[in-house]
Amino acid sequence: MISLRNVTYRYPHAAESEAPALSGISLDIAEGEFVGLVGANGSGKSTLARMLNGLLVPDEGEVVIDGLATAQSANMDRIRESVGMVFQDPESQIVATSIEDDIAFGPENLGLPAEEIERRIDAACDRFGLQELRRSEPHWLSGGQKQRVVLAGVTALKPRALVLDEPTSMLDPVSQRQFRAFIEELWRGGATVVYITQLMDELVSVPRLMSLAAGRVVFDGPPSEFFSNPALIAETGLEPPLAVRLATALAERRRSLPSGLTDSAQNRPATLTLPDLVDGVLGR
Amino acid sequence: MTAGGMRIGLDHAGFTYQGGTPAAFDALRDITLTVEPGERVAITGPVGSGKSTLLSLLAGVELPVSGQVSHDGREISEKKPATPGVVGLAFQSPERCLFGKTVFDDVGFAPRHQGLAEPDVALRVEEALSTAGLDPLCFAKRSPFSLSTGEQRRAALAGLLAMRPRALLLDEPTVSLDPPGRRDIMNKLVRLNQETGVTMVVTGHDMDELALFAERVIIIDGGRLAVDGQAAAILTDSDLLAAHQLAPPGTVELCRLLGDATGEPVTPTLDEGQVVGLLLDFIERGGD
Repeated sequence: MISLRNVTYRYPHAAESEAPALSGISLDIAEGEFVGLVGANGSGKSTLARMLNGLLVPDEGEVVIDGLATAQSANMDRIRESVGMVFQDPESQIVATSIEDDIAFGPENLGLPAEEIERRIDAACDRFGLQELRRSEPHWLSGGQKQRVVLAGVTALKPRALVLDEPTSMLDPVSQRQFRAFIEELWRGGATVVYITQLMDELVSVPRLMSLAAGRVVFDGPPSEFFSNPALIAETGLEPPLAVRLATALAERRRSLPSGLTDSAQNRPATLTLPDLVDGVLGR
Repeated sequence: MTAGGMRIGLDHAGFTYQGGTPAAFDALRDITLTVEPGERVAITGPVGSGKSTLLSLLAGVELPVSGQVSHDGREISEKKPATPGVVGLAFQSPERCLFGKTVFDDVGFAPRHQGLAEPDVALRVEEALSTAGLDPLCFAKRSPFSLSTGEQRRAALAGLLAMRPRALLLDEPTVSLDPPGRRDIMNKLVRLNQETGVTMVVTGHDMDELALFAERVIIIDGGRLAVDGQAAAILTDSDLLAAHQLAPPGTVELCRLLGDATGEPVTPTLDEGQVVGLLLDFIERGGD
């Protein structure tokens, strides 16, 4: 569904001496895939996200969505109907003077009938706990509430693909879990998802993980391979999840460990989550 | 860097947004607390609970609609507003407030407006950038808009530090930073607090990070002060945190999982080293 070939991009204000934000990236994301995208600050994640629905167009190479090149401005309406986007900063994507008008903005622009728009607003408000606030002005809301409004607005569009750039960074842990469950539900319903986060624990169970460093893809595979490889994590400028740190510390302190804790063939920790670590320690 | 930290007090403070309109809602109700000079306090709670509003009241940027706010015992009012430059408040995503042509101009803005001579401004900028983790030689002449998010966040923090405030109030200072960056900012704040005695109040949702920073934790829920106590006691209480939509630090969660799986209560701890020792004990007992 999404295809990048040799994509290189440099921001217009960047100095000549600075490396490009993205450098020779080629990748394919099939319809219905769930891809986690991880990397340190400045690695190019948000730039890559903006390539995926044509907000940025590569200097070199090409991005093709459903057979439509983003470089052709005539393709843009169709591309943006297919790929919904949530940015890091909710402030930058709230446009209306009430929450329900903001959620309605996208569906109205798709030309949907009034009853359908109303149905979608209602469902989105229910889903994101916004019913009581739906007539409020968005600028009075907290950061986390604004993040919910943006999520409600994008999901009301029912796009086929969702690109989510740190969508839960301002949410409390319970709201984070609820949101993540909702995105998985959309994915199981057939949506393609690209999920960017700095919360490593959110990524240990994604089917496919990509890691960026200095504008290049340095890893593309199952998260278990990435998170159990301290050298690779360090190259990306990140930290292993707690379960991996603890399993590594155990391996340093004790020669033989219960079999569930280590991948002896690869000589690396085999537990990525705390429940798995507990099971491994107790030999279950 | 500062003349000691500031004491900030709220006395039965309440705040209402859109007051006098049908959409009026009470963001905070009847909050009484004192932040002592030099304290490191974390404010947490569910989305929309009133954390950011509380910071604005503590800073004296917003005045309570009921009750009082005081700085070092002096009541803040419209007629007697907070002294400029004494409290540094960073809103969420403070990089949005960057505006200078260069990082130097941006960070030097406040000291220039405090009337400092240019050489002193330069000293302040250099000191503030170094404290925030940006090498002045590399960054002072760059455009703030060419920096990465993490670097911009540090530049915005340096802009506050250059004022040499006596209290620093930071609203979710680590959102969108990568894990090493988050840890680094928290460690830098602690060091700055220990070296200068500046009072610090930080909001956030991530208990692992707040555990690195806080001596005291306040939980706001539904606009009310729900919990106020020692960080170590609150952050190790999984049930208390869960009651306010919060998740415990990873080490505490692990102790809870171990206790549930074995049927033996495990005393929760924030110390990763202790957890490793605990896990080794379980492994050795299992091997007998």
